[in-house]
Amino acid sequence: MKNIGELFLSSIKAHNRKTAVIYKSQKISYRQLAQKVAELATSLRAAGIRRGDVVGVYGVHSPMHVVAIFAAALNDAAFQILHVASLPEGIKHQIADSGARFLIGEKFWIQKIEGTLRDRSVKIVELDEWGGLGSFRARRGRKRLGSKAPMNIPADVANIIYTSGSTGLAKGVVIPHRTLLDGARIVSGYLNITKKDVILSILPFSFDYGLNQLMTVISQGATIVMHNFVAPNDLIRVARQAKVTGLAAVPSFWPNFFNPKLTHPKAGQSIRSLRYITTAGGPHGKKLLLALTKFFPQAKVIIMYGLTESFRSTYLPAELVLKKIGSIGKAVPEVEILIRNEDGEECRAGERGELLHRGAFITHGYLNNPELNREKFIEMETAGPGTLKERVVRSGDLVSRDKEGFIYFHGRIDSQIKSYGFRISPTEVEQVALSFRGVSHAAAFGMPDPLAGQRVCLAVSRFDGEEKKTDEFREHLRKKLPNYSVPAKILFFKKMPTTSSGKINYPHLKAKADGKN
Amino acid sequence: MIKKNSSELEQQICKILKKVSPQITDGNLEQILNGKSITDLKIIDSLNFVALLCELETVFGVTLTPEDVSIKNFETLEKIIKILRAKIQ
Repeated sequence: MKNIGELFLSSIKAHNRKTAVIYKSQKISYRQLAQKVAELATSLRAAGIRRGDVVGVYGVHSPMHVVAIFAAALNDAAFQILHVASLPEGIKHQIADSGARFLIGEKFWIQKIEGTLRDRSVKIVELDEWGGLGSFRARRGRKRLGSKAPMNIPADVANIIYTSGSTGLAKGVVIPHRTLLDGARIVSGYLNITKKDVILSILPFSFDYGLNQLMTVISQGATIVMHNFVAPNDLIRVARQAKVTGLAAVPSFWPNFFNPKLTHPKAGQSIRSLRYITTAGGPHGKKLLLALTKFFPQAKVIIMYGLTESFRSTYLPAELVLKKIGSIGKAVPEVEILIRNEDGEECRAGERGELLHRGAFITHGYLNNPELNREKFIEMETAGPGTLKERVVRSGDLVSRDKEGFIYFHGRIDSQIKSYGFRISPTEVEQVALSFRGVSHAAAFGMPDPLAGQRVCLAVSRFDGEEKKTDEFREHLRKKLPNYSVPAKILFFKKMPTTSSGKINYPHLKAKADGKN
Repeated sequence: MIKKNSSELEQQICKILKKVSPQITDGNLEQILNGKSITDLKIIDSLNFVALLCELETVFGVTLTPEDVSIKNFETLEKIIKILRAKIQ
């Protein structure tokens, strides 16, 4: 298989009448999906799409995304999923950075950002949530899917995923077809996913973990159930009706199910078909794992770990989840995990160091960011003297390995904050804080939180000392930042605490945030 | 408090929505007051849904049970008022 367009074509050929997508209780067969993809692909072609173009996709999690992804792929274009939680300024940056020539989305969402796109020559294609063409005329005609086979090879760009770095605006990670194809093949291998599986998808496709679910489904001819999660009872009803067999989520999602105000303690057991759950994107404590295995006793609980830059790295199989609490497991097939100390040497058992990923899944790095690429994608001599060096990904995560080789996550090496599975740049939060009049210094940092993994805290100084402006400042942050980046706690200082060298005194700020001084 | 007329209740619920979902615009609130579905406007996610339930319980002095907690019961102002009135009876 050369690319995800071919993957799609081979799947519709093999599974024509089978259900591909379920959304709002409606079933879409592979054949129907192919028709929608063909219509959009043909229309995009008529509108001048070229090999190597980037197509932005904007809207809530719905079949529209599936249609847009494969329509782009069939035209040898790359797709870029824009998260609806991003603010218009963030979307504008992502579109400018990727150079997207097309933007596909629901009218409701497109209207929200149209103003920010005025100065760009982006062709807008409105689709409904089912992937049907709206104002953009459908070229229904005789064009058949596959009449023009996609040419891309595995090394060509399939997707760009935007993720916050440790500084400034979101960075685009360029994902080749090879990564998506390997992800589908390897993950469906160790999760034993077959065409009989019905996988519940609540994670957006702008998240590599969520996107991997779609690719495994298409590769196996399985069914994906798309759902916008709000209330646990609704998810349980949807999963029960669709006979869901697999579910993936992040740690912050699960406590919704253990809240007796929101759902019945035995409600999880009613999804009798559920055979596995995967969970990734944050710490998994004993309390959470015990609650999860109790709430879904019929399902195997598997912990996964990955980075956008290298997709999937480790997993902990179900039989070890309660025996190796706190572990993210061992490397997935075709990957090796290295743990290097500050001297660049492999750590001994128990010694903490940075996780490095080598082998399958490695992406093309960050778009428009050679400096960060040099920092995060390092070269190692692994094939012997004089040979070309292998590219290895630095995670920035602090981990250790026990004597049996199981890996444990201890936190971030850099200052990046991970909250509710989102990576948050402290600089981005600080820049918004500093844009409020009277604020001279701002320092954002993460504090541990059992639910979110980390919560954003913000320290600011010279806030004019006027209490009445405190509410205005909070309002400013809430308006200018995505929900997940809004500081949970704000500390005000007349003068920002600094160390003797004049640097911001983060230990002091963290102790203050923790109520220790 | 629950004996207030629907218009007052609507205004109070809008205030709560604004509180739990700060990115709601005045335009959104107007649409909600005109009967637009909160879910169609995509302004409630799982995090602020829990906050919405807590605020409704606190402000109106009602107790919501797990059986009530489906987005279908909170889609529109009319439905929220309906469930609040049912809870108080």
